[in-house]
Amino acid sequence: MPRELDPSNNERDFLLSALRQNVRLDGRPLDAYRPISLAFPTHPDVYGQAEVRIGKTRVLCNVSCEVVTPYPDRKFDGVFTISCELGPMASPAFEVGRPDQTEMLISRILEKTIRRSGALDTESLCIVAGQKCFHVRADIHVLDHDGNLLDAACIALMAALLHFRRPDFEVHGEDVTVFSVREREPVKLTVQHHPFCITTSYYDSGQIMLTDATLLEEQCREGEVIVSMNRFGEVCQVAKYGGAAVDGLSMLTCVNSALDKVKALDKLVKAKLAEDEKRRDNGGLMAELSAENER
Amino acid sequence: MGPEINHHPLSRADGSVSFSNNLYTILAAVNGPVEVQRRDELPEEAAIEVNIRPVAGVGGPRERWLESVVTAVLRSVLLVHMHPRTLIQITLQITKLPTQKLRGAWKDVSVLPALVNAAFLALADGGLPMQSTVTAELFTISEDGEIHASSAEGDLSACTGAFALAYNQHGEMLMNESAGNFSLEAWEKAGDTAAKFC
Repeated sequence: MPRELDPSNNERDFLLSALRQNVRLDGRPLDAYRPISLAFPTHPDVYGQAEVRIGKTRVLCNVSCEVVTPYPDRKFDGVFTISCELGPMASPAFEVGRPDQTEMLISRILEKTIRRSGALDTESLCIVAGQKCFHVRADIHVLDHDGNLLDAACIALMAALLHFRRPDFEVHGEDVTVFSVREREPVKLTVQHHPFCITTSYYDSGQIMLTDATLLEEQCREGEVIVSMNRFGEVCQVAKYGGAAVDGLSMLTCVNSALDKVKALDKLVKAKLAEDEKRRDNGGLMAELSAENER
Repeated sequence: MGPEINHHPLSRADGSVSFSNNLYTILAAVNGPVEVQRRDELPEEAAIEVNIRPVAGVGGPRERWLESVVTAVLRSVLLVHMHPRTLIQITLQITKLPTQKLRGAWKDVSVLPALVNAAFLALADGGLPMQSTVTAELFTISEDGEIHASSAEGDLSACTGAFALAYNQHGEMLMNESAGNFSLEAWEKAGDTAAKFC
């Protein structure tokens, strides 16, 4: 209900003068992320939930699916929706039911990054063309807001999509049998590539650029550039919604430096997923199912 | 084994708690007393707003009903006259569901005790003034008439009736919701067991 409290003049001046001397309030280098932790549910039957913490920011993403009828103009594709609703839990400034600018920005960027770029292959969600398909639904819940919600939401979403298993099914002519989790092992989703978002905040007309802003740094910044790319350097989108002008060369620097961050994030997500899979691996099934040769 | 409680996991909310019982895990966050919209303002008391977010999907009529039940319980517990013309905002995020799918009234009734307990603990964590404590629990009655407290998933699938009951420290009943088939005697027996349990 109340607006987010603006930082006082003292706080703002302190932050900006520190930045001009290349010092951040928490002592990090300008391009360093806060410690990122990624957690999956401990229960062996629960798939598709990922909780990301970047510093104090906490975002939870839950992926679920159900069988529905596909859109009539897209008979061979399944349905994939991303829902991100900010609530008073994240910050008292967010109201339920009234989407504010931050929420719309996050929804839009995630749509472009993950849906439009084809990260999730919707054709693989089709069961019977024109009649039955899977509707994969990703719900993003922001639990705590301390800056950089978009990056955290994107990591959580990618991790949850990679973690999720959909029920297995069999088609015999017109009959479709969808097996429950207990009958057959659920199947992973087909994720073509793994894009991540990197938000760069800038101050002093682009002179000072930093990544992973805390809430205070976000409130004092002049603008932000959001780059989404995967670890191969393929850029999904570059967004700059208003803010002070930035020259072209600085934008290129942003995009280039984003590549290193994306590679690091990708490595982190893969490592955590592998760790989680190993933990769930019962009876050495993973080794049996793998097609790798020993040599 | 009792429920697992984690105090103050969130930094932005005034009070927060993560509460896990055998079936659900709820993350509760409380903000208050904060500024209220003109239309919700009450001249002599604080307005209470409860938001319930399910794990998958956005809330629908079911969540609105759950919110109304929880609000009613918290009204009898919070000292609303201490902070007139303000708002106490409580957000309850369900983070873990039981693995077996529950349907209809069973689903609604089984989540209520966790919601009430999480909300109460978050209010205490946030330092909001309350006139009494409240404890809620889920009781199931099996076919042979035995009442089980702190039901686990196995109990729920095998029972004929389930009750979500909440009492304060003086033994007064604050919430009473049930699902399934049961007789009046069974309900009374559940009520007595619950009063002692709480």
